[in-house]
Amino acid sequence: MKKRGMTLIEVMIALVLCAVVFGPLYVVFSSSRKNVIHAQGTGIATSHASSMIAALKQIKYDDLQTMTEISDANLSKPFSLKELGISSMPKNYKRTLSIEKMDTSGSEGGPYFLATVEIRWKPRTIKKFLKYKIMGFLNSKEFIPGGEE
Amino acid sequence: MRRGFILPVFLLLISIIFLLAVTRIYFTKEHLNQVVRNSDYERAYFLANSGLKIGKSVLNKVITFINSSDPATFPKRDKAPENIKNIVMLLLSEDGLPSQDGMDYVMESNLIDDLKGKSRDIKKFKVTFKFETVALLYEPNNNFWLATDPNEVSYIFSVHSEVQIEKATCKLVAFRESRMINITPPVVGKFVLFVKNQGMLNLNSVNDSKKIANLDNSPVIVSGGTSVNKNSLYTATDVRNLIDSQGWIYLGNNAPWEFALSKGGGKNEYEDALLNCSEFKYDMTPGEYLLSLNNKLYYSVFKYTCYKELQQEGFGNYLSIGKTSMLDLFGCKNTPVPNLIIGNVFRKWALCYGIARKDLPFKSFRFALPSLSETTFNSDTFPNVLQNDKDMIKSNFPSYSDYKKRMSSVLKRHYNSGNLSIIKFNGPINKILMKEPKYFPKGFGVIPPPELNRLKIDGNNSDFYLQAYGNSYELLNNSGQKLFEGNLDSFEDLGFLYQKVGLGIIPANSFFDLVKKDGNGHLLISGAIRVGSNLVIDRKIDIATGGGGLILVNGRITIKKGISTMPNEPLTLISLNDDISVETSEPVNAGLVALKGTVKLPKSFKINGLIAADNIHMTNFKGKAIREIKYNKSFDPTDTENYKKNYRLMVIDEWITYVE
Repeated sequence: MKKRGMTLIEVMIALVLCAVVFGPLYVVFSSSRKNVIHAQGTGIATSHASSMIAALKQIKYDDLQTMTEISDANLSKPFSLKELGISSMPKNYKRTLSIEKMDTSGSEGGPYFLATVEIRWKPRTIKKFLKYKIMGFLNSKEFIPGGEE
Repeated sequence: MRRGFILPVFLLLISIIFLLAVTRIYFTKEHLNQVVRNSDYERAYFLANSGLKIGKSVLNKVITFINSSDPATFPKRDKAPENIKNIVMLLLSEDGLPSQDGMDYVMESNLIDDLKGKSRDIKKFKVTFKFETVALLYEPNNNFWLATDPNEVSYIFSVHSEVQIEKATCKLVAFRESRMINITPPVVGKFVLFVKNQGMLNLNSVNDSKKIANLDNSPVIVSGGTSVNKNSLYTATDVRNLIDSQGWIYLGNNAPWEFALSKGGGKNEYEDALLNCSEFKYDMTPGEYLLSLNNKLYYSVFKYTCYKELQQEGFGNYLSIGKTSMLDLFGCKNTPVPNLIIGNVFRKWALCYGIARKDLPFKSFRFALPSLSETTFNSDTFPNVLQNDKDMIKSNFPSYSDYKKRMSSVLKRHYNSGNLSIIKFNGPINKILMKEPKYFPKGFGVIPPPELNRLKIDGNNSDFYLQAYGNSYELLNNSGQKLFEGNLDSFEDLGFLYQKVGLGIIPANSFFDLVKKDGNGHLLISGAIRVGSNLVIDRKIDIATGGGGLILVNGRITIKKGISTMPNEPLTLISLNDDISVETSEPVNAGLVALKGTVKLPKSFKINGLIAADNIHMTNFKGKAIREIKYNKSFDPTDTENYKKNYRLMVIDEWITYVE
């Protein structure tokens, strides 16, 4: 008896079934990949931002100055990466440094220099730029009896 | 292949793949969340650290304000700047003393609000201050009775900073131990000069003269506080109140201290104060001797004086007082400083008696009545007296007892009698007589000046114009509270002050490195520190406002450079077991305490504070120099307002920070 092949309808049904099954699977895997890449990027950004803030805390108060969104390449002494002893950002990442003066009246022990390190990057899997921003006070002028921690 | 087998296999595979997919997305999502939370935590950490910095800076402002001795900062609760007022109000009780209620205060901060405004995902940013009392510092001492100050306690201060960003919360805590101590030196703080033994001090060693060129040494001017106008007279109560508030002088041991008063080369800057070395005359009254002499009327002449030119003025050869004192205890004639001298202490000076004829110019006829012993009086000749004069004396004074009442002599009085000279008594009193309490006019209704409030001797309130000398002394503050009771000579071991020390022992050679400084390099003692061995101050010391305190040295202290402080900032250098040697003529604004040793002073010095020692040593030299010991009233433990100003919040250890 001659064996019958699959009818077109059967093939179509099979294809639909495959689409129904593998479509979500693709979405799921794609999403998890995005998560991995996002997490990886955030980790890198956090690490580089923190290391910069920590390094900035070593600069003496008298050497501090205000600045607005200066990228790594444009940082000059004593803020340059070499002076700070930190590594440059990976490709596709952009780090900027802003320093502003706060409490200039000194009513709360200021003036303080607030450093804001912002890192932007665009993962391959995500269309928009991601941003990570970290803030912290640098050395203050006022003498604190007992010293700093 | 059997029909009906493929589908189940397919479905199984699909299920496994789905399971893997779900698992993968779950873990990657969790990983992402964790990474985001970590990055948020990192942000929170740096912000919380900034919060700690703000908190510590504000706390620093509070400490600086509480420690400040600037009069404009008192009363502290009222004068506290708005941004720290709430904390000051919690730290100090209504009477301005340290509170022991503890504190838990959430800081109100525009700065923190500004920081919160910079990022919308900051859910919480809070800085809290906490402090709690740990322990009293003092225990009563058995060797002598000394009041315990319940306000001297140790505290734990902590600053808590909490930041929440999305789901990540970071809590940082910084704490340190602090001590509230009072930097007023106990007991000896009341004295501008506290010397227990005369030792090698040659009290009367100045070849005095009324001419500055002949003065061979410069007396030390001891000024115990507020001076008076030498031309004004004060009520007895005013003088009592003034002397209660002065920095007294204690000259201990039972041996008498006798000061021959000085004319100081005729210079008001050197001359002893509260003694008028002028001539006085008054009409002799009926019954006085010599009235009938040649049917003339006579004055009786007094001449209080105290220098060697006596011999050139007609009184000579009859009276010699010798060398005079190198310490002027009532300041100098220019700036007389009434004071209380505690101890077996006397002042002596010449009282020249004589007569003058009223019908002749005052200086044209004066006749001195020499100082004679009874044996000499009854002999045929008086040494250095002309025979005619001798005959006149003998013919007018029938007996030695009559003559003795009028002869010149060296007066010796307890030192405090000088305080009477500035009192204005009501009524027609001869001012000369009023200088001598024993000469209070009979029948004259003089109400005795009131007693001192701050000193009891042997259980009784002391007078300021009589000898202040006994076995047991009680020091009281102006509120009547007893501060000390015992024999002042036995006040020697200051080891109990160690209880005030917070830091460990500082090596002497690291003193300038380890003592904290403010931004201007001025030292901040702000409490009590302990130095382990001989301390040499070989560079100038500037003490910051609020930076005064007690420096306890287990060894000798050598001061080779000046010490400057703000006027109301007491700094006390205490050698616990050795000497203090001042080797600079620059001003030393400090209390120098060496109760088991000697304070050695150079030929020229200016001490603004106090000196307390077992004995003192002066460098002898021929020449003129400024030699001054001037009391700083900020040392006074008996003035409650002043004492309150001397509390210092001493931060002890470095901040210890941890993540909660």
